[in-house]
Amino acid sequence: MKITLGVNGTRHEVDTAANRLLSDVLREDLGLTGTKVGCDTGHCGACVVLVDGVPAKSCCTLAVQADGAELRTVEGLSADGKLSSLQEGFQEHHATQCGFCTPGMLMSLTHLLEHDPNPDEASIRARLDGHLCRCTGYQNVVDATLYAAKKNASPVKMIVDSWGKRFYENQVRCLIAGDANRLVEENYLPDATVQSFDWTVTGHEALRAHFGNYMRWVKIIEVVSTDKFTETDNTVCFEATVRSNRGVVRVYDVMTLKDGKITYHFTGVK
Amino acid sequence: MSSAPFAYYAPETLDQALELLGSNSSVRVLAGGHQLVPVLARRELRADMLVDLRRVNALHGIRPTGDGVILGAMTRLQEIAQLPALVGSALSDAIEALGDHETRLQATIGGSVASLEAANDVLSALSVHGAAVECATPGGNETVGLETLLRDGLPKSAIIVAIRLPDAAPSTGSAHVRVRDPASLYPICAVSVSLRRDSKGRVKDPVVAVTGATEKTCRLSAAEEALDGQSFPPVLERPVLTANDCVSDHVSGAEYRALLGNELVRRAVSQAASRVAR
Amino acid sequence: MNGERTLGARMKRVEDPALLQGTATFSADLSLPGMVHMAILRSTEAHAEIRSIDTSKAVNMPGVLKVITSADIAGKIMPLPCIWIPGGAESHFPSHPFGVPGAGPVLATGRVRYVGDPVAVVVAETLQAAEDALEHIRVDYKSLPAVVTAEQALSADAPQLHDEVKGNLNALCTYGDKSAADSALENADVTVQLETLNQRTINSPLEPRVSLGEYIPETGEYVLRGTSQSPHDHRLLLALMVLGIPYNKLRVISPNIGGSFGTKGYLYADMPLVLWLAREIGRPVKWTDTRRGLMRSTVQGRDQHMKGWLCGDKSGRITGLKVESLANLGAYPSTIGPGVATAMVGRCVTSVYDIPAAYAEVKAVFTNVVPLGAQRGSGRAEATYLIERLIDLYARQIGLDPTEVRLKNMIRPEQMPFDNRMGWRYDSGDYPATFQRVRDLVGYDSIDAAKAEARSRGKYLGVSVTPFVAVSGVGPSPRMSKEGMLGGTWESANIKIHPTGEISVIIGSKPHGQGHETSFGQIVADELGVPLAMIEVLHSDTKRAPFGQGSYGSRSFSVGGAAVLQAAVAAKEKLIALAAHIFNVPATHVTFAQGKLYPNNEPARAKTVQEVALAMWYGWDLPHGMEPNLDVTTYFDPPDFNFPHGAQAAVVEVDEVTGQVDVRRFFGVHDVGVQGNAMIVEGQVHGGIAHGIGQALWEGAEYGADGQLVTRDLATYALPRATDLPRFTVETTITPTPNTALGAKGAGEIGTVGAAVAISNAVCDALAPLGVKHIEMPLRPEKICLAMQSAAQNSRSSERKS
Repeated sequence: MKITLGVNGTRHEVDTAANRLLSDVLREDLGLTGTKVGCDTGHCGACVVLVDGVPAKSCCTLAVQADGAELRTVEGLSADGKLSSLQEGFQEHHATQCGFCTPGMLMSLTHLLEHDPNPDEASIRARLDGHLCRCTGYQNVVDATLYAAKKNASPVKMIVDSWGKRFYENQVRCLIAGDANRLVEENYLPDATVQSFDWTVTGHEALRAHFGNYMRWVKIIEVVSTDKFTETDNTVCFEATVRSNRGVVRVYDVMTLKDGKITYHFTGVK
Repeated sequence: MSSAPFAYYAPETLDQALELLGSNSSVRVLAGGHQLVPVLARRELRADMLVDLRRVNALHGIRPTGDGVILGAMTRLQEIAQLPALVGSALSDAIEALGDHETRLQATIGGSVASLEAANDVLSALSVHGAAVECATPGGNETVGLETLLRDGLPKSAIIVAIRLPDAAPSTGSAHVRVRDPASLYPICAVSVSLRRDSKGRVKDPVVAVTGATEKTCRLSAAEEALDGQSFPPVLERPVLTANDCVSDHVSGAEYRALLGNELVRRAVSQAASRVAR
Repeated sequence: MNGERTLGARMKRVEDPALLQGTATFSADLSLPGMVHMAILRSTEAHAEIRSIDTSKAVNMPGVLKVITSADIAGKIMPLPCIWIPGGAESHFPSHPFGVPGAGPVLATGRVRYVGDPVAVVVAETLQAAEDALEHIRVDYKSLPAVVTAEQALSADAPQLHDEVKGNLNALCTYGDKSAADSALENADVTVQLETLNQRTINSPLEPRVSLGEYIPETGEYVLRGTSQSPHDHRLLLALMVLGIPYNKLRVISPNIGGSFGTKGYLYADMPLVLWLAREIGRPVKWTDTRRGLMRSTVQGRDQHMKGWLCGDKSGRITGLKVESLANLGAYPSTIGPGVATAMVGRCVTSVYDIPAAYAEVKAVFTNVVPLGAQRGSGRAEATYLIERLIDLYARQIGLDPTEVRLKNMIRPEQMPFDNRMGWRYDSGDYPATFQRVRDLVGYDSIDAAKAEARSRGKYLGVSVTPFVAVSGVGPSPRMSKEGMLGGTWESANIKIHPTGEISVIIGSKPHGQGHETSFGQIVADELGVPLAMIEVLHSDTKRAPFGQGSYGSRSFSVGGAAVLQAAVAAKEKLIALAAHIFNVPATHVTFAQGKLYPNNEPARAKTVQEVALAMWYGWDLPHGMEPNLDVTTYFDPPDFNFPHGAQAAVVEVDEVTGQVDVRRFFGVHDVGVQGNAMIVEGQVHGGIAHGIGQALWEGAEYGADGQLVTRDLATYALPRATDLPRFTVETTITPTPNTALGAKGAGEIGTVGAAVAISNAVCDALAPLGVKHIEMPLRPEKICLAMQSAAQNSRSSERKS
């Protein structure tokens, strides 16, 4: 079968039998041997790659399932030989010994940091649950990830102007009012203000759907407290405790700036 | 390691998928694939044909209804766990605890319901949510209640279209707790509980399900009867599971599974009760 | 030198950029032009006669090039040899045509002896075609009764596995003084005893094994690329004892290895097969194992069924120790398995204690399971487990605090060097000091408050503090020959300074994750005062390296590093000699500092190491008798072993209902002598601890009574995961050993040796209030529940009696 795989930004046309695993096609057909295969039951995690941005075990995925997908593998993490913060953390903290499990861990942890720029030790360990490492005892992997989070946070300072501040206040107001449509219209539909902010928000539709669900499923009755509104380093986040039809819940979201681009991570309810 | 050869189709409509399903006796439906693909690759299971459902639009998406939500069969588990309305429920607990992160991101709700595994956190949790499974069969659509599904399995040649999840009634709390096998990450035993508190402060409509410990995922009527009508917070005095109800394998004996089951029922009940809004 | 020394510094590993970017080559990544693939048909029976093998269908399948069974290689590929036999004891082995101890045929001949025994192989154009063809080979087996445990194998009616080995007994080895130990036991106030199975474990490196064979007709040379922890050893054994080809016609190259922990130092059938087949077929032949293949064919570890008796007086003074152990060697002796399973247990049973009368005997026995090999800490971990469990039982029996009993019997620094009466001479170290430090770290004196707090949450909290010492640095060759090693155990190094200034260090040792390229480079950087970036460390290619050995028994840095230091010192001497000639001063008047040489007190005239080395390359003006070039090869054979030591402490909580164990905290103080890179040493310790915890709580190879491996993959064999482990707090002390040139001791296994018993003792301490005395590893919750229940029943029945 002819399939198309985007790998680390390059498009590949591959002719493969349907029964071949994604890991095999990456390693054998595309020569990307950085992805490792350590088991045959999907329990070691060495083969994890990102498929359309989502970690997947490439030994549990048929290559044909990834037809048309954009993949990221360990070979795509560094740019011009410059290690990513996470890779750098692995070296600083001696998080790789034999290095066989490392590529899978790097991919999962890259995904983690992109969605939770400031993870704590417990959430890093939880993320590593799908990865077996026989050399390190995991502690240095945790430390490497914490290092990367800190490094990502420190060098860029994000300035939230009065618009940004209004944006969040407005969001909380909308949540209270339960007016999803207004929220979406005022904040997410492209307009001059938003564009000037260089949003890289992907999938407006997804966000809108998410919010739609949010509003239908959690009716916010009142804000109990605004717990956090911080603009430290390159991250802005707010957290509020609200009383809803589902009891008292915390809503939060996070926005990060990296390489001059703002990424918006809607994370919903804790 | 490679599976024996098979034909592969990724149809775009449900009708095409059903037609393919009926066209061959050794055909398997592929959803997320993280469970099926390695089994095929190890040649423990063979298929002449795989029908991949990823392109069938009708199976994707989450649609709220007036009194609940319809989860398209191809919805990834992690997405479901994060639905605001489900946070702090048995289903969300079950998803957050099962397997590992990659599995939760890739596995679909439909695939989980149709799973090959006897220990199935998702089925257990869905049963206390009062879910129903919408199936497409060559003879038309069919909605199967979870209880029927647990008893009889899926209708023949059916493709799961969606899971219907009703809104929880007011003053209801649910929870799912588990102890995992450290190797497979499947539950040695897992228990789901849902409870409602009526206006008199008594337990109404308790539902308790167990998986992993028993041969199949099943309801625990002994626990449900014992809980019904108790005043809050409910307490289970007597064991509701015995070794006779449980399976024994190299991971664990039936006695221990029963012990674990009884303790997990207590813990799940207490967790669910604490979630009932006051 | 000024400022920080390079040796020991926490320098970033030079290996990492390639590993982190996916560009480092592992064996499975290799591909050669024209390469074909081999697949192995493994026995599905634990013990059976092979009546017939029908390959006719397989051989005609598309893409299949060759199908062979033992008949095709008879007289062409010899059986594998065993080269570490139990020393000083009568021993029996399967035969080998060259008169060396045999380790079984490369392909099962007439009989299969374990599930996984190689029976036939297919070579095909693609791996898929080879796997497809395997399914069409028909083997007609006649099942024979199987034995799974050593005890069963020794029983009178047990099936005989090898004609040459009567009663399945490979050897009975004894250590220490039997009559002294018996007499101590007879006359003791208090005796405690324990029978325990130190369960069989599966090492489980993340990378399954690979062998890629190539034959070059032009030179008549064979090249084996693959996962070899000891490429030089494999070269010798394969050339001399298996293929019968000249040593210089076999080259072994071992790329990056994805973990080994002992397993990849062994010879396996696939190695000679790919080489022989490559010549037969005229194309390179590659074999890549799977996880399930690994589980049933790569050597496994531990499996010592031990009985121990410890005696002493009521004041806590230990007077005697006796140990009997049955070592389950599996179906065939592995390359060095019998030696590891005997001496490394028997000589280690007294651990860090001064025990006046001690005796150990180990019976090595064949059974129908996977051959036994080394697993990180092998022998020492089993011995340490036994003595430390016994001491806890003893302390409890006499009502003393176990840490007090330990300190009372511990070898004191002023007793060094200490003859442990079992055959080891401990080199150096302050055992009580590391023990006390860990005892303080864990807050031993205030642990009762923590226990009470845990009870309020429905948990039983337990603590342990356990010391250990681990013989390392294999080894002094003359001594190892007495221990039954059929080969030298020295190590080598070569240093070259290129005319352009870069320095190559070529070592005989072989890393598999330990960062040799960094820490061995640090030795040279430190000694010659040049930046690490100027130094490349090469290894793992027998054609490039001088004669060498490999890595096993925590020997790489302590023994191989010593060879590197010797080479650096020799290089330095030669540089000074030439500098003295250039500056026209006596050698004693040359200062060597920070990579520069100059006449004393005249730093302005300094020449760099590279400049002086270049002068050697030109050779235009050398002192009389000096050869051109800086190219030094040295070999180091240690005068004795070295003995890293330390102590660890664990705090665990056990759930009172479910029996789930939660390792809350783990502390360790380790002394590995002089370190090459403190960060790497710490990493080794972390990983070692995780192995020990894994064995204590989860790991265990399980075989059915029929010899079928139940724990056959990573879905059935549990390894520690990130959420299972706590943060480790580790410190080191540095007591150099006099037995290596660097003063370095082994570091690779030290974390594992005490960790399993640290957890076991802590769990038993947690449950002591219930009357639980001992629970076997792995400490699975189910087992703990049963122990809690039976302890509760015992206490109820004793209440009724009183």
